[in-house]
Amino acid sequence: MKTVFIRDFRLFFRARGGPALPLVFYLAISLLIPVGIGPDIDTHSLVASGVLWSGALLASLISLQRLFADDMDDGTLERLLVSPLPLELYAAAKTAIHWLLTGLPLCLAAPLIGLMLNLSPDSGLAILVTLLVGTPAISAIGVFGAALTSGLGPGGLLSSVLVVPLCIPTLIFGSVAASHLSEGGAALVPLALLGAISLACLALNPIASAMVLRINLR
Amino acid sequence: MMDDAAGNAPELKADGIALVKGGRRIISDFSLLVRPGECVEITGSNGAGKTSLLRALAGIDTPSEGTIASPGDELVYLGHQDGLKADLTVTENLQFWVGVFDAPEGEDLVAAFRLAALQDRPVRLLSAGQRKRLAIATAFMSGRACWLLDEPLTSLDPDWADIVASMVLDHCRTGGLAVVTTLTKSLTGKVGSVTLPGTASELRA
Repeated sequence: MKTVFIRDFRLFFRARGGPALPLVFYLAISLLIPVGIGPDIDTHSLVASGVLWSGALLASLISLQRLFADDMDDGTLERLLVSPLPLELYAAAKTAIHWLLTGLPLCLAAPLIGLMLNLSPDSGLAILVTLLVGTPAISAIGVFGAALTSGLGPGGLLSSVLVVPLCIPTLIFGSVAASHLSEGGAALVPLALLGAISLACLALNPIASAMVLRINLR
Repeated sequence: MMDDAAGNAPELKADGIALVKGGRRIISDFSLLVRPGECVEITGSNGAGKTSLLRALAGIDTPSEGTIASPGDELVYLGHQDGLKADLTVTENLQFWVGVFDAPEGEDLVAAFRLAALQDRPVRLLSAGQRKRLAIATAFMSGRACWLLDEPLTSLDPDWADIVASMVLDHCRTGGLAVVTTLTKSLTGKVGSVTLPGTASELRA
């Protein structure tokens, strides 16, 4: 697992440009929606948590497109299938690297972008906490979607179409928890549910992703 | 150099297998038994089904008929797609496969394949022959006893083709086993040989 992690860490910066593209996309989408809504800054702060959560989901999808497809095309996956490394650990390493290099930077950027949406520092912190709890679920579901479409060539769009509906519960609980936290309300239940979704996705994703990768290799 | 890999490999056995690809039957009633210490060279023209057969022997594809008994934990497979990353250096690619197989660093193989001078070079800057040598090195350093190599001599110059063929035969002499596909018979010595009958034009017919 460590060897996949190290290789993908190098490739992420050398071949895919690092986390800059998802971050720029996150910034753009989070600032464009309020521009479309209008100049009322009270409305901006009202929709900020939803915008930041939706933006984080969409920005996460960008780096998923070639997550397995490159390994499928260059023969890495068929060699890994006949190796001591279980595909489950390989998928887990892919999830970890995706969260660390895409999910985490998006989490850390959210409070700063929140300031531009007239969000108070406390509310920004609330968004950060909920994103830290919820983005592992987005990475896990996204990795599964990427595995599912890895044999389809340029299947990036299809992967996004599959992943977005599966992420809706995460999005709902994440936005609700962020709103409750920033208003000082009871956020324990949505936050706990968000954490449960993340843990369940992290636990199931390696098994499900490895299974679909085996099918796609045949 | 690779004799520690061989050990006592279990045998590789295919019994009456048939392979169907794209609705066409490309191999029928094919049987093969390779024991430790044996090397089998499978020759055939383009489209004869060499790669499909090797993938089935590796367990990547499932035959539509027949059975395959292979030593799954002793297999190493090297296909046409070599699993090398063009943006990583030779050393980084080697490190990845060393990590995957939990194998020793294999400095002797780096020397044997004359890769030392190329270690910091990205794979995309290698020639086809150099890339092929690197790919073969990543397979040989696995420490596994049963080698399934798909056209390993393609892209190599005659000298390097001889060296690689010798390495395969040395591996088999020390108790390993190998199934190697080639376009024309290239391995000399005590090597079993199978020629697949189909040709690309026949398959199209």
